[in-house]
This record gives sequence, C-alpha cells and structure tokens, in this order.
Amino acid sequence: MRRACGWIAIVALAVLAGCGDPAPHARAQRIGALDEAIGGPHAIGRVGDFLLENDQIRLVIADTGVDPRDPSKSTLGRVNSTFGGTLVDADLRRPGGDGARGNDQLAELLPGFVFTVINPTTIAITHDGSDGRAAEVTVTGTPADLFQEIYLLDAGLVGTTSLQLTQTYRLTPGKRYVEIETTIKNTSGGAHPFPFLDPTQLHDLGFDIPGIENIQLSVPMGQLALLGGEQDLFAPGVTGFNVRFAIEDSYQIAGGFPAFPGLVVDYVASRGRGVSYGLTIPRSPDNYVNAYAGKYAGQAITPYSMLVPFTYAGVAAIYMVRPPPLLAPGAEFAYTSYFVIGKGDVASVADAIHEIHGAPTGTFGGRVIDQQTSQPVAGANVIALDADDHIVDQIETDASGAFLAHLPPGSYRYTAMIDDRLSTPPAPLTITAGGHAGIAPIEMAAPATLVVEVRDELGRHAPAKIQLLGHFPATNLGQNPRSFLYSLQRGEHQRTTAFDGGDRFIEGVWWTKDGQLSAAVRPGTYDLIVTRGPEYEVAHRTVELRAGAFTAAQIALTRAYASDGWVASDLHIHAQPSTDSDVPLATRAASCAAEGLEVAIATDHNAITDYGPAIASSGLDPWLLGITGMELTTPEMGHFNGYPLRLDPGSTRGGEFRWAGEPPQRLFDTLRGLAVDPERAIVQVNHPRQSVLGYLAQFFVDVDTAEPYTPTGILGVFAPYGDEFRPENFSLDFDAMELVCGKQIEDAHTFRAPDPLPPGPYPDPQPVPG
Amino acid sequence: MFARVCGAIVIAAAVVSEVALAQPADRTEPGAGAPPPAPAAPAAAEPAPAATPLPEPAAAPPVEPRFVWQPFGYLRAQYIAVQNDPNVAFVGRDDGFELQNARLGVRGALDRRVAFEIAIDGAVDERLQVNSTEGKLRVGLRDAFADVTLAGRLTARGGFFQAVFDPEALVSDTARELVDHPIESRGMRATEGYQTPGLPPGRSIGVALRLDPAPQGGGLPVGFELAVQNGADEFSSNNDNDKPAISAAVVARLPRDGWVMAAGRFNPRTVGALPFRQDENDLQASAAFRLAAGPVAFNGGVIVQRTSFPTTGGPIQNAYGGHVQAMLAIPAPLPLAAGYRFAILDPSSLITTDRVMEHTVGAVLAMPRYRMRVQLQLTHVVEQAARELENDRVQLAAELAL
Repeated sequence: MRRACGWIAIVALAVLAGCGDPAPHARAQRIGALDEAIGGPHAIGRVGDFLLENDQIRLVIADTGVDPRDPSKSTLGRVNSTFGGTLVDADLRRPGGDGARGNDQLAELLPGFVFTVINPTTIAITHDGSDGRAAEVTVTGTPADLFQEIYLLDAGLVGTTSLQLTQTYRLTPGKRYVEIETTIKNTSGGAHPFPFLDPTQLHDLGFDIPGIENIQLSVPMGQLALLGGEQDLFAPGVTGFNVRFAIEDSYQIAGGFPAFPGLVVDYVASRGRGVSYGLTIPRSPDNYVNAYAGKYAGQAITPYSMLVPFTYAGVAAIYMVRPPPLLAPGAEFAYTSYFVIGKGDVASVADAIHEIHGAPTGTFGGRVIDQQTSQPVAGANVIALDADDHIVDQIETDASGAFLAHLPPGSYRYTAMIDDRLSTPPAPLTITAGGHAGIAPIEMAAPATLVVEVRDELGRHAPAKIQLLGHFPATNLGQNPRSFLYSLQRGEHQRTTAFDGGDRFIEGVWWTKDGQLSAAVRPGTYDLIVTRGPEYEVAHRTVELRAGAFTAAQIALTRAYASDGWVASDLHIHAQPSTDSDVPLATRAASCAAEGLEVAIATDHNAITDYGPAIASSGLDPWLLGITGMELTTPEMGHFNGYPLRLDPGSTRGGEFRWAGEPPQRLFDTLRGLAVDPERAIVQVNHPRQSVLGYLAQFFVDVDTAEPYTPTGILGVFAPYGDEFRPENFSLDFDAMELVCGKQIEDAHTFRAPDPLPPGPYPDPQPVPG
Repeated sequence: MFARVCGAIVIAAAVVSEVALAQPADRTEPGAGAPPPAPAAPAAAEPAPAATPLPEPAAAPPVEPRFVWQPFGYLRAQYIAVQNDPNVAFVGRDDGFELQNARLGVRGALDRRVAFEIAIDGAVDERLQVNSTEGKLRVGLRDAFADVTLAGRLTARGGFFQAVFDPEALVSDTARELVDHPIESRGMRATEGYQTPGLPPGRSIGVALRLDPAPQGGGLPVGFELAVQNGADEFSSNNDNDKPAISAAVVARLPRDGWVMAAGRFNPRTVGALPFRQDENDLQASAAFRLAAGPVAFNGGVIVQRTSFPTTGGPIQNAYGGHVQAMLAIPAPLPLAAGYRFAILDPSSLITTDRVMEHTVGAVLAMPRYRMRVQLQLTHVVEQAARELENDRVQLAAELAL
C-alpha cells in the first residue's frame, strides 16, 4: 500500500508540474541577424533596425537610414515614406519562437503633425526591459515634410524650425498594444505659436493665395497610418468598413474651418488575414475633435474621438489632438496614442481598446456551424449591430467556428456573414458588464459548390478565368448597388456591377492555373463565364446552384484568332510585395496566365519581384514567362518601371536603391544600374499625367511644347520645392511611357483587336510560352 | 440500392457456405459452437479473440524467463455499400473495399512485475477535411504504455492509452459481433452520413491507477481505474492547457463473460490558437453491461456528455448516445451468431436536428482454425427530418487475427 501511495504522489507531482508560469516580459534590442526580424508579406525590418517585443506582439522601428560616416550610403526612402525611425513591421508573436515566419502586413506608422513628420537624428533604446518593466525605443529628430507639395501647410501650421520632435514606443509586458508618446519641444528662444503663421504672414512671404486672409486653420496632430493593402479599414458606428465613402459623406456635413473636415471615429481598426491593427487614444483635454465639437455636428463624438480627413491607397491620416496655441521657450507638448495588434479581426483589436479605455465590457461568444452538417464555419464574420443597425464589432470565427469578443454593456443584434453563404437574420443580444453572453450555435445555410473544368482548343487544362455573374431585380435598376447588393459597412466585398447600367453583377471570380475550380458560392442562378484573355471567345452558360449541392460544368475554350508573332504582356503589375496589394505571388501568376498573358513583368512598388518561383511551383511554365522588375515609386516625382532587373535575395526589397531627393536622371540611372543588362534595360514612365504621382504632371510638362516649366500662382504654391524638381533636371532618358493604366478600367473595357492581326514583330513560332 | 444489398447478402452467403463446407466442425477448438464471447478481462487490454484459439499452455517450463513477450494484431477489411443520397453529393459515392484496420502490437512483461504494450494501427483513415470523400491511409500509434504492479492486482499505468470509459473499448475488435461499433462510440464516418465524432474520449498520454477485477471465483470480481491524462485530442503530443483530464471507472465481472461498468470523466479543454484561446469543459459519464442468457447475449451502453463554455458563457451543451444489442447464437458447424442493435446519437442539445438513429441487423461467423471471422451487417439510418438522408448501408467484413 505504501508503494501505491508513492505512485499517487508521483502522479500528483506530475499534474502539478509546470504550474508556476513565469511573468511576461518585454524587451528592446537592435536586430543583429535577419532571422530576429518579424517576417511576413510586407516585412522590411532588417539588421540594424530596432526590435520591440513582449510575450504578445513584436514590432520593428526602422533605423534612421542615414550613415553618419558616409551620407552617400544613406537609405532614405527604404521605408515607404522618406525618413526612417518609423514603425514598419508589426505582428503577433507567433508560436514557434523567433524562427517562426511572421505575418507582418503593416506598411508603416509614423507621427503626423499635420503633414510634418520626424526626420530622425537619433534612435535609441531608452529601456531594454531587462528590469521586467516596459521596454522603450525613442526616436528624436527635427520636423520634415512628408510631401513637399504641401510644405506651405507644414510651414504655416507647424513651423519647421526650432522644434524637437520625439516619439517613444513603449511596450509593456503582457499587452497587445504599444503606447506611443509623441512630444514636441520648442527649442527656440521665443514662444512657438500654433498655427505658426497667420494668413497675413503668408501673404508677406510672397504666397499669393486668394482669400487666405479669411481662413482660420487649426493644427491637428496624430499618426499617419499606412496599414497596408491587405487591411480593410474599420471604424465603429455608421462607418463600419465603409470608411472611404463615409469620409466623402462627412465632407457634406463639415462645419467648416478652423476644424478640418473629415470622419469622426471612436477608434480605428482593420481586418486582415491573420493579423489586424488598430489605433486609439486616451481621454485628453487636448482632444482635437472635442475641441471643435460644434464643427462636427451630425457625427458621434466620444472622449476618444479622432479625425480621419482622408484615406488613399492604404494611407489614412488619423488626427488626435491639437497643441496649445503657444508653446513657451523650452516647453513641451505631448500626446499619447496606442497602436494595437489583433488576430485578423476587429474584435481582437477592439478588445484591447476597451481595456485601454478602462471600459466595462461583457463577453459575447459562441460558435458558427453549417446548418446542414453541423461542421464549424471558419472565417465567418459575426457582426454586432447596435440599436440603430450601426456596426459595433466584427468577430471572425476560428478553425473550430468559435468566436469571442468583448462588448460594452447594452442591447445589440448580431448576424453571421461570409462571402459564400447567405447571412443569418439578425438576432437580439444583451451584454452586461462582467457578464458572459454565450449563445447557442449560429447555424448558417449551406453554400452551393461549383465545380468547373476548362480545356483549351488543344484539350489541355488551360489557365482560365471563371466568373459567376448574377442578376439583381429590375426594381433595383438605377440604384446604388451599395444600397441593396452588398454592404460595405458590414464588410462584404464589392459586387461589381455592369458598366452598361444593366442588372448584372459579379458574384465571384476565380483565376485558375489549370482551368479547374471547386468553389463554395452563395446559392442562386448565375451566368457562368469562362475566358482566357482576348485571344479566346467568351464561353457562357447558365447554372443553377443549390444549397448543399454540387454543380459541375465542363467548358471548352475556343480560340478567337491566331496571334502568331505577337506576345501578350502586361508591363505594369502589382502583387503582395507592393504595400497596397493583397494578392499573393502565386495568385498573381495564375491571374496573369488566366487572362491570357504570355509575359508578366513584375512591377511592385519599391520591391524587386520575381514571379519565376511562383510560376514554377504553380506549373505555369508552359504558359507564362515572368520578368523581374520593379516600379520605382516616389511620393511626388512619379512612378517608373524598370525591367529586367537583378533580384538580390539578401535584401528585404529585392535590391538596394534610393529614391528620396534624387533627380529623374539619377532615378533612371538607378534602375539601369539594377538591371540585368543596363544597356538593354527598359525604363518606363507610368501614369505620367496623374497628379502627384505622375512624372509629367509633377514637372509641369506643357501639353503643347512638351517642355517643363516653373509654375506660378497657386500652382507654384503647391509644387515640390526640392532642387531635384527644377525644370532643368527633367530628363527624357526613359524608354517607354504608359498610355493606358488599369486604374481607368472604364477606358479599357471596350478594347478591340483587328482580325486578323497584322504580322507580328516576333518570329513564328514564338519563342515564348503558351 | 436494394439490388446491391441483395448482392452483398448473396456474396456473404456464398462465402459463409463455402467456408463452412470446407471446414468440418472441430469440437476440440475453444469456443466452437458458441458465439464470439465477450472479453475475459474487462480492461482496455486486448483479450483473446473469440475465434482465435488461445495459445496452448506451456508444459510447465522448468524456468520461466525473466522477460516474456507476445505479438498480437489483426487485419480487418470490408466491402461497404452506402446508398447514394440524391441531394448530398458526399454521401454514398465511394462504395468499395476498405481496410478497416491492420493492427500490430507487442505486449510483454519483465519478472511479472512490469508489463508493457505497444501497438500501431496501420490503416488509420485520415481525411483532409470533414465530410471529405477522399481519405488516405496512414499509420498511427494505438497504444504505448507500461504497467507496474504495485500490489496484487493493483497496477500503475503510464503512457499513451485509452482510459476506461467507452464501453465499446471493453470489447476487443476481434470479439465484436457486428462490423461497426455503435454510433455513440464511433460517430458517423465521412461518406456514410454527416460526419460526426463519437462521444468517448480518444487515447491520451497520462497515468492511471488500476485494479483489475479478479476472475470469477478468484476473488473480488470488481476493479477500478483512476486516470489522469492530458485530455487533448487523440494523437496530440502534449496537453492543450495546464489542466489534466480526470476519469474514474468501476468494472464488475459477471458470470459467463458478462460485465457491468460505469465511468465518469472531467476534461477541461482549451481550443483556438494562441493567444485567443477558449476554455470548454466536458463532463462525461458512461454505463454499460453485457449479459448472457442461454443462447442470447445482451449488451447495452449509454454515454452522456455535458459541455460547458466558461470563457464565452455559452449555454450548456448536452449530448447523449447509447445502444442495446442482442445476439443469438445459432447452432451451426462453426460459431455463428446473428442479432440486432439499436443505437442513437444526439451530439448536441443546442442543435435540434442532429439526432441520428441506427437499426442494425448482422451476423458473424467464426472460423477458429484459420483465426478468421466473417461479418455481415445491414444498417438502416434514420436522421431527423431536416437532415434526412438516404444512407442505409450494407457491410461485409472479413477479419484475420494473429
């Protein structure tokens, strides 16, 4: 019996073993090896940058990018904006340790004093976290312009001299958010007013802006968030995921200056694949929106309100505070914000934000299952709505269909949504502080399954584009499809409608690498459209898709005309390496092949990309040739493709180059220097007349003379001022210019090709795939 | 479907008659003329198969070796035909041969003091996703544990094993009368209906204190097991949280290989990916019996499960399942029995349409000389109206025991 007792004791010890969990930690360090960085589709952290991490999250703050010993080796522009010292990578801590592949999708987060940013002089680890407390990295610098074109705003509102700007990233153990403390210090001997200049001073400086004397402006400060192309922006309330249009709507009810127009939000969050981000602020007497509350009538204002005046190409300005009217000599003004990292949905961000605000909450949890099979529905969105049907939260189900969120006390309704199923009818929900509102499983109707097999004229499983076109009721003709076909607020994807004003809309589109598709879709009657670029006829048939049932279709593609001697190519393509794209390389390769391209030139923003591995692993070698290239992207001088380029696998951007402060000729030379063969490299000017982003537009190239000129008047006021923009620096040393750009798709969708084609420039048979 | 069922019966009849004609009755073989008996030992350890002659007892060797070991295993294959449901494409479209299992193991002992058992299943059916029509065979660990005798019949067990909870686990696969376990134990398999797991916990890593019931007439025929295990999913290499699963079972041996058992288990589980995990607690109980009365062997069992969701505060989910079965031994040249089983499984009280019932008739014929058994089973499956399927099935299985 004593022996039995001994065994029982051993069992008890085994059970109790490991019960003493260590305290969470935080630490700051410089990255000494690349495998210490975060990794992921948009990760650009590298050796020398600053890593800030705890047991929950990991962040990278870029180094200054300036080599003090040899300024010519500086890497200004390595991050997405001009200067270093910004938060460039952020991810959850992934199980598996430092060697695990990360999932950074953040492009960049940087402080914004209107549009003034920090040009860092020093970046330092101010607390390494070894004492068990918060770890800190502090960036200190001077004011600089994010965009030269609006220098006037920076100079007039903030003042670009005699200020020391500091941003401290403070990470506490156990938290999924980093506290950001931003400080402005007046280093001059006199008081520093905000706005720095009054309108009459601008006139005295020679800026001739009609009516400026009647404009009173304020000085919003906050953060500029480039959350990345994979993140859907969200704000609770009437906005939901419909941020873009909500901002437009807010302009209609703007109260006027000195308050900047824009959307008032309680917090900002996002949704992405496996990681999401958010921004919020604490209560503050300096709150910008509350300071001008009367100017934002019609919008919900809370103690945490922030202003989002615009979002464009994944960039959102988020203004939080206004500084005091006068900053005394040596005085400081500081504000705090919090950057939160979630697991891919809004709820995991909002949970942390409620914690930051100290708001009472209760939990809302449950499970989403398939009505037919009882199996979990992973990736479904459970949307919490308030009494006014405004979206409060978006919770994504995990692999087991489970979801959990924290909501403030109140009465809500919830619905479950996912692209391939019908949404569930809203059901009531009550949250009490500290309570658990668990619900019975939400049963979603089963999707239909569409199975398609496509063969080309030779009987091969050819890459093909497969679309399902639906038809909405005639009673909705003429209405905005956002009002009846899909809800951007609730995060549904846009179902594109026909240009011709008809009743067709795209329910789903798939680019297949081998013409084979098995996809879950919403039940209904659709037109099944199969295409393979302009060289093939459009195949069409009607399909009825029933819930829980499989519907199969075999499609044979017919070649429309011979294209011997010609090569189908796209010379301007973006994919995941671009900060504003969420398309993985394999998907992009498949889409190129399915659209009938034979040559695809990778031109990601400031990232040299090679489609080759994706093409090879997808088995697309017989169809598609990839050419390595890049779109050298400047904020204000234009976008320039270069190809074929060499890929440097040791660089986080595929190669080392600098664009900031460089005149056009240097940019062209840079591209040629990166080329496989500089003598035969192609330098291409993209969307040349697009304002801000177009080369010809930024150099004011006259449409009649094709010569650049120095603008005057209001154009001259809002023009880049750097020497690199002087007219004499304009260069024609490029090889190609883009005439039609995919962004203006309405200009391109009625293309025509001569039949038959004239003799092509390439020998027959073609030395290309396909 | 009817034609296929008839065809399978004809095939089964032909096989049975051929085998019976080829093998004259051998009254000297153990178990001849009787239906496959229940296991002799009501424990997870595998008893001698009903149709397998027990090893001849050694003629009192002069010196017993310190270390003894014995391989064991079996091979089971079946032909299965399931009705093609007209509405659900993944049900019934894969009629054909299946390897139910290919188990190989070894058990041994050292100085009658320390024993071990290691077994692998060579035909684990792995599906990439639920209800997938495509499965792959893979090899999986079945058991890997050691027993240390503490005192008398009291042993301590450690390793990867199945705690005593599932009544079906008390019946060796090579002694099971019907092709399948009852639905509350096995769940609904992919392509036979809407796939659903059974209620019993799977194997897990842990330790147990066990008292085997004494054989009839050899002392107190009551045993127990107290087990502490990880309680994570079967085949998990570690625990899913800091909390173990605890189970307790009592088993009493009855005359004529009968037994009665009751068990309880509490398993605090954690699901989801770090750091967004949720706790769920399973409280389970089971009870079962096996009795013989004349030529009829009865058995039945019930499992109930109560799942709470402390993280979400969700409503309690109750589940239950059970079966009753009667097998009649039929006088024949070879051991032959036929019978009926009713089984029911309701996986969730929160879902009002997921209850499944099965009415099964089947027969088993043993051929002890060749360590073989042949089984035929017809099952009528009844789903609730909202999920009604046409998925009755017929199965013909053959088994060879080592």
